[in-house]
Amino acid sequence: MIQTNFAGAVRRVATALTLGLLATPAFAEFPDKPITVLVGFGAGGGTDTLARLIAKEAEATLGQPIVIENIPGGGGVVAATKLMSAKPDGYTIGMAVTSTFSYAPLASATVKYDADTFDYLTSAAALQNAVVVGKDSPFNSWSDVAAAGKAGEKLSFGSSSPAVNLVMTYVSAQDGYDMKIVPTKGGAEIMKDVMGGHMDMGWSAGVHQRFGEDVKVLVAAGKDRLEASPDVPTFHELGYDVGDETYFLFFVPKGIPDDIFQALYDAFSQGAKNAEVVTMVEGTMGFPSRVLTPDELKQNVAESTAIYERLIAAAAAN
Amino acid sequence: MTLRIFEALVGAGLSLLALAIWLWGIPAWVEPNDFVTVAPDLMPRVAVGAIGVLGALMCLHRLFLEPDRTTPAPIEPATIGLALIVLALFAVSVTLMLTVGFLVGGVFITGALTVFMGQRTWWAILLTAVCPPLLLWGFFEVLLGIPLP
Amino acid sequence: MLDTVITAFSDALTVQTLVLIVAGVFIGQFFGAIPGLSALTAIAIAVPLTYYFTPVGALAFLVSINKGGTVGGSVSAILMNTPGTPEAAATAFDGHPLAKQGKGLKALKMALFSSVTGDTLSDFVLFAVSAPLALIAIRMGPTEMLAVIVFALTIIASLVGKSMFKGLIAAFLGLLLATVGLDPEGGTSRFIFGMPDLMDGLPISAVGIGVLAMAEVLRQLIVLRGAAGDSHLPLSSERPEDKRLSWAEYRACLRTILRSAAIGTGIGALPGIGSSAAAFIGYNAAIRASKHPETFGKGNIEGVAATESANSSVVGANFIPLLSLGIPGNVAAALILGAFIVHGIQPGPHLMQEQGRLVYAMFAAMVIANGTNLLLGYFGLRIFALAARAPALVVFPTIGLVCLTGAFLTSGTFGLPLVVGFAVIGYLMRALGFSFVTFIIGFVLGPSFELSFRQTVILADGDLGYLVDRPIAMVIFALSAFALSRTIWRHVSTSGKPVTP
Repeated sequence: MIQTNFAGAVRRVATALTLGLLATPAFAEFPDKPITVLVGFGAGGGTDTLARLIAKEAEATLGQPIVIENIPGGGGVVAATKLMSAKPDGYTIGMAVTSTFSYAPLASATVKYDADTFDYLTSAAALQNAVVVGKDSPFNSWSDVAAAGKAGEKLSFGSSSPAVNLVMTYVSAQDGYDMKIVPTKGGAEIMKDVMGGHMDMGWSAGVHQRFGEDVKVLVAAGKDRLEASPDVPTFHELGYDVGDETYFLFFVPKGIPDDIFQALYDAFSQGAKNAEVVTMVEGTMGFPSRVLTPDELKQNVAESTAIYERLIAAAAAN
Repeated sequence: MTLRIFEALVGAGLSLLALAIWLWGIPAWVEPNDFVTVAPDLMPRVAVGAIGVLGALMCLHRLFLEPDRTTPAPIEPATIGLALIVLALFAVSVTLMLTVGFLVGGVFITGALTVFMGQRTWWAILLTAVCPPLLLWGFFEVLLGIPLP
Repeated sequence: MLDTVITAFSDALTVQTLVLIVAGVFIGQFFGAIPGLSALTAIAIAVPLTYYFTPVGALAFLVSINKGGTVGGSVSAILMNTPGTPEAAATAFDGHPLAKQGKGLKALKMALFSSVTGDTLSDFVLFAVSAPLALIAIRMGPTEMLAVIVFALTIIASLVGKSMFKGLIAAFLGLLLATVGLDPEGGTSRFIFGMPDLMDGLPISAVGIGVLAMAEVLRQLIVLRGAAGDSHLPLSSERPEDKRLSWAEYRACLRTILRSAAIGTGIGALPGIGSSAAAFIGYNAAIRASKHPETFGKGNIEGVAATESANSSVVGANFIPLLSLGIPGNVAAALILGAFIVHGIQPGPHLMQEQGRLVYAMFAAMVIANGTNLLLGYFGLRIFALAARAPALVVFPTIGLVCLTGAFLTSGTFGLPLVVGFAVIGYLMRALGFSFVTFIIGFVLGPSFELSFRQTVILADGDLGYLVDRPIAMVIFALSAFALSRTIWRHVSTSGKPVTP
C-alpha cells in the first residue's frame, strides 16, 4: 500500500513535469480537480447505481467531474483497504455498506482496518433485510418456524453471507434448536431456492420485493420494520437481541480538513436528498432513502459492531 | 535425456510439490473454521491430493510402461533463455506502469518486444512503440474517461 | 399477436435505438476481436453510459454488445490462436489450423454464420417458451445443479488430450486455484496471503487472458523471433473455394449447429454454468457424432461451427432466468440486470404483465441486432483478416500490450502482475504438453462445483435418502457415470497403441 502511495506521487510529479504545470495555485478553492469515488462493489449493482446517481448530483454542486471506480471484493473490504492509503485531501472517497466496517474487520485477520479507521460522510439508503419463505410454505410467521424447530424439525435456511449465518445461529440457539444454514451466491439465488422449495426459508436484503406475492415475509431482520411490509414484526420485537440497520454509505480517510469535509458532506447529502434520486431509490430500487449525518453513521457502525461482537462471542461459546 | 525420463521427472516434481503443499501450505494458508459443516480445506486437499497421486502415477507410468524410449526431451536452453528475456521485459513493463504510468510502460513493452523480434529500423521501432500505447490511452483515458494506471 | 409484433418493432425501430444497436454490435465485435479485450469489458464500461438512454435503447445497446462479442470472440481465436475468453478457446482448436492453411476467411465466415444461427435460435426459444423453461429452472435446486456440473465435468474430461495424467493434473490445478479467496460457507481465508484483492478469488478475466491469450503471445514471440518481418499467417489461399463458404458446406454443418444450439440453450437456461462449458460440450458432442473424429483439431470446419453455435446460443438463453426470475446466469447478464434496475424495470415473474411492451420491444431489438451482427460481421471479417496479416513483429508486441490493458480494465492494478504470472503458467503448460483446456474448465466450474457440493451436503445432513428423493439429479448422475466410464474405456482400449494414455 505504501508502494501505491509512492507510485501515485511519482506519477503525479511525472505528469506535472511533462505538462509543465508545476505552478498550482496554493489557495485554490476545493475542488480544483476531479474527485474519485471508490465503490466497493461491481458495476451495475445496487451500491454502484446509488453511487453514480448521487455522484451525478454532487458533480453539479461541486463543479468538478466525479470519477466512479469500481473496486469489488470482500463486500467492500478491497475498496476500503485501498482508501486507507489515500491522501486525506478529499479527492478520494469511498462507498460501501455498514457491515464493511462493522462485521468485516471482526471476521478476518486480512482486514487491516476497523470501525475507527475512517470518517463517515453520509448515507444514501437503508437495506431491507428480511427472512422470507415461498408462497406455498406452511410457515406464516416466525412463531411457526420456531415451533417447528423446537419440535425437532431441522429447517434449511439460505444465507447470503457469514454475517447472516451468525444472526440465524444466534436466533435458533436462543430457542434451543439447530438449523441447516446453507451458503449461497446471494439474493436472487435464494429467492429461486425458496420458491422452488429447495430451502425452507432464506435471507433477503430487499430483493424479495421484486417477487411480490410469490414470497412471504416472516420477519424484518433490521432495526426497524420494513417499509413495504409494515405489519411484519422485527426480530427485536419478537424478543431476539439481533438486527442492525445496514446503510449504503460514503466514507473518507481520517484527517480531511474541516472545510473540505463540510463541502463534501453538503454536496453528497444534498445529492442523496435530491427529489429525482429519492424517487429512483424508493420507487425503482425499493430501498427507503435515508440520508444520515457523519455522527449518526459513526453511531450506526458502532452499534452494528457491538451486535456482531456479541454474536461472535455467543457462537464461540457454543 | 529422453522425453520419457523428462516426463517422469515432471511427474515426480509435481508429486513432491503437492506433498509439500499438503503438509505445510494448506495448514499455513487455509484458515480452519469449526462452525462450518464442510471444512474449508476439503476442496484444496482433494485437488492437491489428486495432483500428488496423479503425478506419482505419471512418473511410474513413464518409467515402466512407456513404450516410446527414444524421443528426446523438449529442453532447448536457447528457448528457455528467450522465454526468460520476454518475461523480464513484461515484468519491467508492469513495474513501469504501476510506478510511472501506462504510457511509459506501454511504450517500453511494445518497443522492447519489436526489437526483440528482430526489428532494427529505427523509425519502425518508434512507430510500433509509440502508436499502440497512445491509441489505447487515447481511447480509454481521453475518449471514455476510464483512468489507466 | 400480430399487433404485438408490430408495436414491438415500432418501439424498437426508433433512430436512437437503431443507432445504439449498430454501435453496440460494432463495439462488441471490435472488443471481442481484439485479444485481451472482450465483450464483457465493453459491457462493464458501457453500463454507466446507458443510464442516460431510454430504457429500450439502453437494453438494446447492452444486448447488442453482448451479441457482437460472441461473433468477435471467434476472430482472435481463429486468426491469432489467442482466444480472449474461455468460451472461444475451442474455436481455436480447428479455426487456427484452418487459418494456417490459408482458409482463415472460410473459418471466420463459418464462425459468423453458426454464431448468428445459434444466437437466433436461442432467442426464439426465449421469446416462445421462456415461462415454462423458467419453471424448470426453479425446479433445479442445489443438488440438481451439482449433478449438472458433474455431468459437464465428465463430458469435458474426454478433452484431456493425449495424456490422461497430464489432462487430469491440469484440471485439478484449476480446481485448486478456484478455491483461492474467502471460504463460501464460513468466510475464512484460503490462500489469500494477506491480500484483500484475493478475497473474491482470482479474477477469471485475468486468468483467462493470461493462460489463453498472453501465453500464446509469449510462445509466438519466441517461435517467430528473427523471421518476424513476415506475417505469422500464410497468404490467404488463392483458390476461391477456400475463401468462400458455400451453402452446401453450411448445410453439411447444420446438424452440428443445431445440436450445439440446443446444448447452448439448455445450459444458458440454467443460471451459473455458462458459455465456456457450453462451448466445450458442443465441441465434444460434434466429435462424438462425427464419422471422422480424428480430423478434429487439425482444421475441421465442423469444430468451429459446433463451438460458436454453442457459445452464442447461451447469450439469448441466459435471458430466460434473467427475465423470468431476475437471476443472472453469468457476469454479462448480471451487468445487464443492473441496467434493467436503473431504468426502473424489475426482472422477475411479473415482468411480462408490468412491462410487457418494453420486453417485446427488447425482443424486437434482439432480432434486429442479430441481423446487424450478420451484416457488420460479414464486412468486418475482411478487415480483421487483413489486420491480422500485419508483420508479426508489430502484431504480437501490440497484442501483448492490449492483454495488459485488458487485465487492468477488468481487474485493476492487481490484474497486471497476475496476468503475467498466468501467462507463465500457460506457457509452461503449452511447453510441457499439459492441457490448458481442462485447467480453465476446472477453474471456471470449480467455485460452482464446490458451492453446490457443500449446499447438498448441508441439506442432506447425513441422510442419503435426500439424494434418492431427487430423481432429476439421480438421472443426471447416472448419465455422468456412464459418460465417464466410456471415456476411461476409450483411453484404456487405445493405450496399447503408441499414443500415451
